[in-house]
Amino acid sequence: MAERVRRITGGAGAAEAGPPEPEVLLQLVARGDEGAFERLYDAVSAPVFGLVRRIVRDPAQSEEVTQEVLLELWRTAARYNPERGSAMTWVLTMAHRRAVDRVRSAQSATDREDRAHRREAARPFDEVAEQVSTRLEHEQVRRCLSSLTDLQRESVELAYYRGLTYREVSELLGTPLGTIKTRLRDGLIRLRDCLGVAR
Amino acid sequence: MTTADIHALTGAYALDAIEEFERAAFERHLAECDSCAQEVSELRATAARLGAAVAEQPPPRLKARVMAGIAEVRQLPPVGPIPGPRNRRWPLRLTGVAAALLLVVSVSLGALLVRNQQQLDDERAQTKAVVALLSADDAKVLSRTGGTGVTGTVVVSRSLGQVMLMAANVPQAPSGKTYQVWLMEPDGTKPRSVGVMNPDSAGRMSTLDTALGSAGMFGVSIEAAGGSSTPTDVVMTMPLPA
Repeated sequence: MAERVRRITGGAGAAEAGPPEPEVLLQLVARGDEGAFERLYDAVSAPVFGLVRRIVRDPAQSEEVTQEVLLELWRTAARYNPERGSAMTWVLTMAHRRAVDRVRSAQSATDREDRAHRREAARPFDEVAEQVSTRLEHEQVRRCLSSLTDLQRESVELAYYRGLTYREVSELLGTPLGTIKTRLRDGLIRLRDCLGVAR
Repeated sequence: MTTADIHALTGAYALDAIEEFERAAFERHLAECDSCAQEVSELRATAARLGAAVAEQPPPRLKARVMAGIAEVRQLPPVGPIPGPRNRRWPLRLTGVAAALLLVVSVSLGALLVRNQQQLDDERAQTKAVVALLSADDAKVLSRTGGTGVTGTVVVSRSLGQVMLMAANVPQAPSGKTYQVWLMEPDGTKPRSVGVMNPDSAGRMSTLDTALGSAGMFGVSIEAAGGSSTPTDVVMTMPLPA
């Protein structure tokens, strides 16, 4: 606990030099600091909204889910554990889960009526890669995505950006379940190495 | 499922591309596999980079809504050692905090149960039963969110032989149909009806059963109005704490 407090103090000092890291902001937010929450909002709202929008698509629903995620962030800030990963990873994991829950619950209602329709409505897989912004970080992600095999890339994109289960990915690509499961893992491992994600 | 099979799920798990029943099995595995937990955390961080790459500014009105919203949301206190993959172990024993939280939940659920009963005596009995269950020495709670967004929470006391079943975010049953709740043996056999029910307008339903017996699983099925003697279209199952 003492260590955590020191880290907060250090972080607040560092804030004078540049924008504080989300990790530092989260710790301030956990103590009820609304100003810190506002800065955290500025730091994470675009990634959260962009990701949610990619999965949910409907703009109004995407705003709703984004709002839920941000309020959840406020509510659970004290539960963030820096040892388990960066703040951005924590936030985006939460956002992805919420967005996926939203589309799956909407889906379950329509599934019963028409299972086939969803597959017909499938969008082209490369749409996502095309829309990825050209800024540096985005460029790197795109470059790394394009270093995957077609099957790895399609599987990862369908699962992550469309919120499909690997079972659905398998159906959609007409590829055995076991293969998709392995490709998701291989693909992510290759991405991890390409992006230099810290171990 | 073999160990090799379950290892291969790290990717699907990190992408939330896993089905509910597998998530539970995988999380049990994660608790015992350090290398998997490490891999999952790296793959999650990798997935987050994919997320950050599609950043898009939300409309400004959202910020105003969120900032106004936090004024109405109570923040959770920190929990002791935060359950990591190593020591994340469901079902949790009820800790003091969880017990207190559940007590709050129980009061509102108690009220919920009551409205169906419509009798003061029943109301008192229900609330009392719920509180007794939650304060039992061996009360255990287990909560899961299904792929459809439905959250199931059970509180079990084997010594009292009671179980409280709660579900949230439940969509209305298709027209002319109803939900029916079942208790089953741990292997899913011998279903016994707990009753038919339907979610309230907020998508919640709950019930308390006082004859738990050796049941090790509960399930929810969709049935024709009035219910049936055996489950027809099972939409959710969940293990009960031992």
